[in-house]
Amino acid sequence: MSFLPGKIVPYSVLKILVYCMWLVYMPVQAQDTVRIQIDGMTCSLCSRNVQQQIQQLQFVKKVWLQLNTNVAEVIVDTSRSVSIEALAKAVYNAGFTVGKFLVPIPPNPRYSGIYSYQYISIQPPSGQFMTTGYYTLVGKAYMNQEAYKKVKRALKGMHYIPPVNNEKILYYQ
Amino acid sequence: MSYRWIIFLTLSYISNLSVAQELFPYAEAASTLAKGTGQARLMFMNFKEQSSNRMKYWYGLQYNYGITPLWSVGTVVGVSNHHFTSIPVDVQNYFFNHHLNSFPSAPTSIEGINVHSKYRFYTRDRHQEHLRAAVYVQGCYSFIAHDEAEPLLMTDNSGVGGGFIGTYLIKKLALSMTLGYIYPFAYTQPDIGYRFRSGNALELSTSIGYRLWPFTYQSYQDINVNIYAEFLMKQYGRATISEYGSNWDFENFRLTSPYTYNTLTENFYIDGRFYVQLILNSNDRIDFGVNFPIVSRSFNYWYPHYMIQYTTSIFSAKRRVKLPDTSF
Repeated sequence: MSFLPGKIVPYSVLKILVYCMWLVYMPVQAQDTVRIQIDGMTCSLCSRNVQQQIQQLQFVKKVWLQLNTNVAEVIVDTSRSVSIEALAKAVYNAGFTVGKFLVPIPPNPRYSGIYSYQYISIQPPSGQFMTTGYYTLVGKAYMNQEAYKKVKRALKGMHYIPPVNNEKILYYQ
Repeated sequence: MSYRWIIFLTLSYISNLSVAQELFPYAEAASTLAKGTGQARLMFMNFKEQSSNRMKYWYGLQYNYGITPLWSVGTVVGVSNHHFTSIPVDVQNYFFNHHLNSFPSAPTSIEGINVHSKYRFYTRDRHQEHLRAAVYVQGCYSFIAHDEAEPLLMTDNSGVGGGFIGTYLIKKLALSMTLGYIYPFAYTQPDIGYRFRSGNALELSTSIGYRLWPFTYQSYQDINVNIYAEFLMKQYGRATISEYGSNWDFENFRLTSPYTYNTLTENFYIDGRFYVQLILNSNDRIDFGVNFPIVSRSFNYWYPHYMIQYTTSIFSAKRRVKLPDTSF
């Protein structure tokens, strides 16, 4: 069989090719998807503002914003330091509020601004578009006031200490 | 088809409107511009002055900028052929006749510069719903000799003003109310010892907006068609005119020149403004509208009063990137 590897292409060349492909593939893999439900927004002009603000962040590779459900799917470059707070602030700078902030499980160690007490899986992540598990970020910057109150009530029953540091972040004001 | 079917179909249609719009052509919504975003607007208004059969124009160039997500500032420069830059020596003749065809037409000139600022102090955001409130202040320096009791800070009068805006937006309805006050400054012309001051004004505007098209978004390139109805209620005091320190008593104008009297005396009116708005590429806005009197009328212009404006957003992003398709 003349087309078998090793006869036409030497194994050493194949190894180099595979290595090169891995080198190309690795940076593609160094990414995560963060999902943000944006509140207070209705029209495509508003969505465009939010998308522009998020797109400015250095660690953001791409943003898709579902215009009918107002969910932003943000591809972040995890080879850089990813600031979740910067993402929340970008939504705020566009003039809107984070309704819910979802980060992949487990949170990447390169994410700055997330501590173990700031995320919790309150409920199993729902929605058909999710292929992996997600944590809901807890804190005023990452969810609207109503959702935050619900979470606090739920956490109280679980003897959970609410994230005190986040109390100071009032992005939705 | 019975009227019940028409009502049913109308209600079904309204209930299917996915979102409402608050990009009101006349009133300002309580929402402020995104941080670092600019907005340029070209405005054009015209009406026919029926007493003289002349067309009157007003052109405006507006620029707004979002300093913070809660605070935006802006300026308007207006150009028109509504007024003269100074009052002629025979003041009474001017007031009686300048609306007539026998009197020379006012030249096109720069009317003035308006500077305004808005601060959003209350925000309650929910999924496709928000309740927002803002305060605004504005000031205007005018280069023309305004000669009507009704003050306008959109470059007609020098003066200051301010007020509150409340905007509620929910899927099927966008409603906004603005309560404002205008304090005009006096126009003086020392060469003829002339002083004119329009009355103070209180205004309340109510605006309603709907998005007619598209029902559901496919991409940022979808053309949006919105309709608006805005109602302006305005009450203002009478003008004060003096020549060399003595005030005019223009009560007798009521009989000799009723139109002049109406332009100088206090008034209350309600205007209805109806607009169609197109949004292109989720960035550019084109508004077409017409203004009709509902209760009494404004004596600053004649009806119908037409308006066309074009607005574009200018992003000052550090990384300018082409936005990807929005579906996922």
